[in-house]
Amino acid sequence: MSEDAKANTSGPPPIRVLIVDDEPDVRMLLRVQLEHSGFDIVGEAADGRAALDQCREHAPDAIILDLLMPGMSGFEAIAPLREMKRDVAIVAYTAVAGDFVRKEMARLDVPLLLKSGDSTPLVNKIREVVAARAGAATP
Amino acid sequence: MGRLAHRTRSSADLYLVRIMDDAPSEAARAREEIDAIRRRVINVVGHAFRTPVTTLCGMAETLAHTDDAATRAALAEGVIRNARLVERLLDQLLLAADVSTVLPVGDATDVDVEAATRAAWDCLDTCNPMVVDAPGITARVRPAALEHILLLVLDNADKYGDGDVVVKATTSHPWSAIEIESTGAIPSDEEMAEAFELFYRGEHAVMRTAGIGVGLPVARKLAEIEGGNVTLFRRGDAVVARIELPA
Repeated sequence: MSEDAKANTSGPPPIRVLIVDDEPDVRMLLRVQLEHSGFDIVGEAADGRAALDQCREHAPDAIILDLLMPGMSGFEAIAPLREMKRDVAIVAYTAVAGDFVRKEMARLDVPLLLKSGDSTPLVNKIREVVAARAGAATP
Repeated sequence: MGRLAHRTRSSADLYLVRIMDDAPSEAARAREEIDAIRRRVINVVGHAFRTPVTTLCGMAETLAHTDDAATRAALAEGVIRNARLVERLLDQLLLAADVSTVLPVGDATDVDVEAATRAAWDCLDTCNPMVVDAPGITARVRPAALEHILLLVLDNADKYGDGDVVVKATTSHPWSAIEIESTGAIPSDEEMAEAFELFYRGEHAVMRTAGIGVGLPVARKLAEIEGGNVTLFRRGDAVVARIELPA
């Protein structure tokens, strides 16, 4: 978390995020960008199986999930991640998405974002999905 | 689709014009094949470039707004890494479009295979291990051609293997054979058969890493120009790329 974000202790606690992407540079960039935006990055994983381990260990509020990864893909990880933590907010973050990917994410109710150098859409989407999940969990 | 996959656009179009005179329905099928190839090429290239280009943009922008020295250094290294990746992808694309852009000049000479293998591996900038066993083995080729062939085939083994890449060379006159063995997920029969099609990327390759599917086809073309060949086969749990060149 950035020093600015740490200093701001009066607001709600930062959203705890797990980053899942097989490209180390993408993980590094997302960590820096999201920490600048006040998120708490609790873990990183390079494939779906490592994501399950990290989710079990850190119980994140949100997961940024790449879809095409060696080993267990993002597609395969969505169901067990939700089984492990029902209220976790998952945002699919991928380089390209054809019809199949878009339909599959819509069917699973997972918002989909295309990778971009600008982190603003991702930041907004994480906040939106976490807020929606929190609202849905409130009796 | 395979029938046309190796044709350039111009030769494919000439083919189309020729058969249009004979059979309109065959012309329509050929046009569909050509359109499918074009879509495949655009899709593969777009996919391969998107992650490094967006990463590059994000890192450059973030770098400009970051004060922490360690973070700045890490981002700067990332910018260089991704710029080099984009450069390599562009080189491969140009090679695929016209292999003559890298055809070496000069005459064939006896090239030390082990030294050429180590030099090519160093160019890949990878952390993965590689073992080479080719004492005293030479190939009679133009040095730059062997360098390109090895670079392309080793890059493939590095990207799609899970463990050590093992290189072994032998000579049985008039040929020298260089076998590059890697373990990992084994491609299907279809993927093995299509591996030398330009811009073909199997499911295993797509799930594994970015790429544009030109490494093995271009390596084979270069080997053929030098009087040899590149083939791909399985050996137990490993995939072996075999480069045969004049000894």
